[in-house]
Amino acid sequence: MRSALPLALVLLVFLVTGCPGLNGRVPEKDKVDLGIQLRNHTFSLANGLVVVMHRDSTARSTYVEVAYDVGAKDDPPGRAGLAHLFEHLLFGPVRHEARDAGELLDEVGAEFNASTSYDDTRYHEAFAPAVLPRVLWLEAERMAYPAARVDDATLAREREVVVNEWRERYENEPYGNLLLTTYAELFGPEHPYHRPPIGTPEDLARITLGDVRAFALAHYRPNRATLVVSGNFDPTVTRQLVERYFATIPPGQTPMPRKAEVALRKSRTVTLEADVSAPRVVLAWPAPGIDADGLEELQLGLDLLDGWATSALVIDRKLATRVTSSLMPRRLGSMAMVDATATEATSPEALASAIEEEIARTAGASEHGLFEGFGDVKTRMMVESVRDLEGLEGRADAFLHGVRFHRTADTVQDHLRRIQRVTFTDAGGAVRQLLADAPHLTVLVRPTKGAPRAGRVVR
Amino acid sequence: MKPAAWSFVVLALLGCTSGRPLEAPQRYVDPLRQFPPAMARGTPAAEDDLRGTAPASLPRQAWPRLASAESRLPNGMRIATVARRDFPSVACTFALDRGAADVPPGAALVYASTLHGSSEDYDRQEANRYLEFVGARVTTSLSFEGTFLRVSALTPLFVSAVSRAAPKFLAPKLAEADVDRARTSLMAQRRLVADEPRGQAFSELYAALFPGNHPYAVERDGGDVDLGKLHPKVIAQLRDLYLAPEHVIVACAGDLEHARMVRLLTPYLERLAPKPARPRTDVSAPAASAKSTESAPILLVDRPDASQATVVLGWVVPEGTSPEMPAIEVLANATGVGLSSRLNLTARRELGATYGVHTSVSRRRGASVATIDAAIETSKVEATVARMLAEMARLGREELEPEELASAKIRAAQRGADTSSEGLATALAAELTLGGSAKDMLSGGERLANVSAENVRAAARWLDPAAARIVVVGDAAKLEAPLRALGRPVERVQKRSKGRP
Repeated sequence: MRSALPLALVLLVFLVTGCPGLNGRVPEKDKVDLGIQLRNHTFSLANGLVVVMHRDSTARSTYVEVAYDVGAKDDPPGRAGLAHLFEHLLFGPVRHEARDAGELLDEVGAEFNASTSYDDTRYHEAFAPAVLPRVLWLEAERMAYPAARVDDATLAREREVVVNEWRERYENEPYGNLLLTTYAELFGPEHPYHRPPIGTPEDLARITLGDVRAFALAHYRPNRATLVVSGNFDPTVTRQLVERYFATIPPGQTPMPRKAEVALRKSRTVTLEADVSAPRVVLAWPAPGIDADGLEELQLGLDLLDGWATSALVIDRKLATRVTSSLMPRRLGSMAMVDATATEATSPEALASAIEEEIARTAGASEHGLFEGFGDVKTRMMVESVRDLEGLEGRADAFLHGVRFHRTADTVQDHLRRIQRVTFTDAGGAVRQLLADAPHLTVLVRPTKGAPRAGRVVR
Repeated sequence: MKPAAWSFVVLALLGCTSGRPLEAPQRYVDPLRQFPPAMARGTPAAEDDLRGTAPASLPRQAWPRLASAESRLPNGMRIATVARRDFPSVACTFALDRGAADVPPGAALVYASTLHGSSEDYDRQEANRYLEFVGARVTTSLSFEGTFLRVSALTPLFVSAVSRAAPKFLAPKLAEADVDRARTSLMAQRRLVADEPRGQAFSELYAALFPGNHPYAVERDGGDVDLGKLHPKVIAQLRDLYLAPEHVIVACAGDLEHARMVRLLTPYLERLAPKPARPRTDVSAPAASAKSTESAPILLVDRPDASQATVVLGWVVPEGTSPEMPAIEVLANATGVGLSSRLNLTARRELGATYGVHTSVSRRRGASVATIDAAIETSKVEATVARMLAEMARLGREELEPEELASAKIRAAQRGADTSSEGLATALAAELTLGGSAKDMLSGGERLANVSAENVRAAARWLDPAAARIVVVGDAAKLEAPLRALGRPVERVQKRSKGRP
């Protein structure tokens, strides 16, 4: 490993002596260049499983993540929520052990969890390095025989747990239907993102053991998975363990790449009534997929919009109490979103109009060179990208993104360079092209006594 | 500061350099994913042979304890550090050892949030823009014991970050515009969470656990106090009374050397003028907490048509630095942390009544609070709560099985094992404001390892089901009768008005 010492000191010296802002001079921006490399050894097994090993001997834990390229986008018609329910089932019985997978992970003291998104399903564990063989064995067991010992009783019980999760996160939660409605309305009925990953109680009730078995066969195969091992481990021993337990798992068929169109031809508005305290507004736009060019430009544009809109609408005009802008990158189409809470004296319609004005102002500003804080936003975004790598989980995320979209685990440096190359003209252009000049969805939440707290669509 | 032995390399940095070329990226063999060769699974016997027995663990590594140090400046201020060289980042938490328990409800929360505003040295916008430029993260928080401002940055940028962050904490201007901005933001957050059942349940629980005049009876955020009516003078009270060397602690962690950190911080810290020492607010446990409250009613907050009931059980337990705290933490892990913890095996796995049960311990200076909470399907509340209370009673009678004890201990110890510099600085500041030390924090794993099954059984007396205060937020029309069947009176209470100014 090369020493970072001299170069790190270069950064320190430059900032102290020449960094704009320390001495009151106008900052000279677009000069930051961070070079990062995350050491890793990436390889494929003959069955198509991609393995990324990243050793950090200073870590006190080992972290394992298995990501399957299957998510809510793959739920069969009428079975919304199957991918997520399946994730729950994988913490249940395994074929070669009397105890459930969750119990085995608890027993070794692992901190573990899993998540199912529209695009993928991930299982991850952080644990003391000594128990790595056991964790790899368990993940291989789940991949080789997914849900093999699940029976009707287990399925029925876990369905109840998922329905309770749906109640807790959505039905019983103030504004619980806001984001679900936004996705459903922005991505039309034919799009895989129309249905929520957690499903609906009606669809969940229809899922049978046969559906579960078919889902396992179709999707939980090594050539649709990536295994990341990071943190403290012995690379030689770990590779032997990986080959021993994973190499003989037969692969499955690879589905054809999917394309899905986001058909929002013109702007439209949906209103929710909800028994909540504050009116709220969401404006949402379809954006290019996660692997498309131009997302960094849009992200930076949204960051600028965030600051401007907060300053104008919260501080100056007092129309809103909170405004946030965000980008949700996804494989089959991303979503850009502005979410604002109105003051009591402001109607959601008036706030939506004011947000549209701010978007037009942000888009126009690039033409006049008005992005004064652009360099600051860019630097923060670059430094945050580096800081995300402090934890083993953040590093695994970076590897998984690279493997899935760029056929290499080494994408951190490219990501930083892409941010660095963005100019304020690019960012303004992205805001203009993808937000100001594009049709969008407006969702208004109107506080209504007696309505469901989560909200119901009234038009 | 000496940079860390990084596991990745910062190659080329500011200025006109474009960065040294990195190693060519490795690419995995993509066709194997698209067109894997046909493979048959091994014979059942071969598979059983391969997978039938889980492999043994590797030898456990003994980790040296992280290095900690503490200094006291001539003016009395404390600087404590924990060095950890695994990532090029440093974090410091500036802590005032007075918090929500020491000033009128809500005032400390607004004070903490106003620290983001201007200092005597720098205008808010100028400072915040500068902090953004160096990629620093600045956050504020509040406990009953302390008020905190946290700054973190990549190592080479940390000196720059401190130049703007330290004055925010040590010389806050508390200008009216900044106070107004903080209040507006906090009230907006309150409105968004005003209708959340979990928040409502915890508000009621704290009011039930402590007498009305006890500082812990009201949540840290001031409960239902109208923040908009808090006069800026009340906000300034915390600064004027307490912002003095003897009340300030700086806790730093990450890629640092103690002596260099002291040299960096001293010019900022020595500016604080001494003030007369102030006594701490009495936050000792209320006398009533020791006796059984079997007759205490279940408090029921009506939430018509709610499909789930949010149930919270709470107990007053010893102060945060009590020697019994490790056993209580193991107990918490055995009951409601992890899928195979007792209450999750019962309520989730067996009854399918909830997405999850959570046990936690909020360590405090005078008296800590242990809670168990879950969102339970309305029709299953009675059966589930009865089973939960029965499990808690069993913990007081029977010792944990050795495997269960070992699992709970290792889970408690593993939590936060690889936390960030920011997380470590936060934990250190919390420990110090509780009256502990860096060594106390760093030896936590050893104390957990020494907990015996008998210690856990003895600690279970603090979570005696007969003494539990219970709050339920849900559809009262459907819940009142089933709750009475638990053998306790049920008292309907009005929802608190937090969030509605």
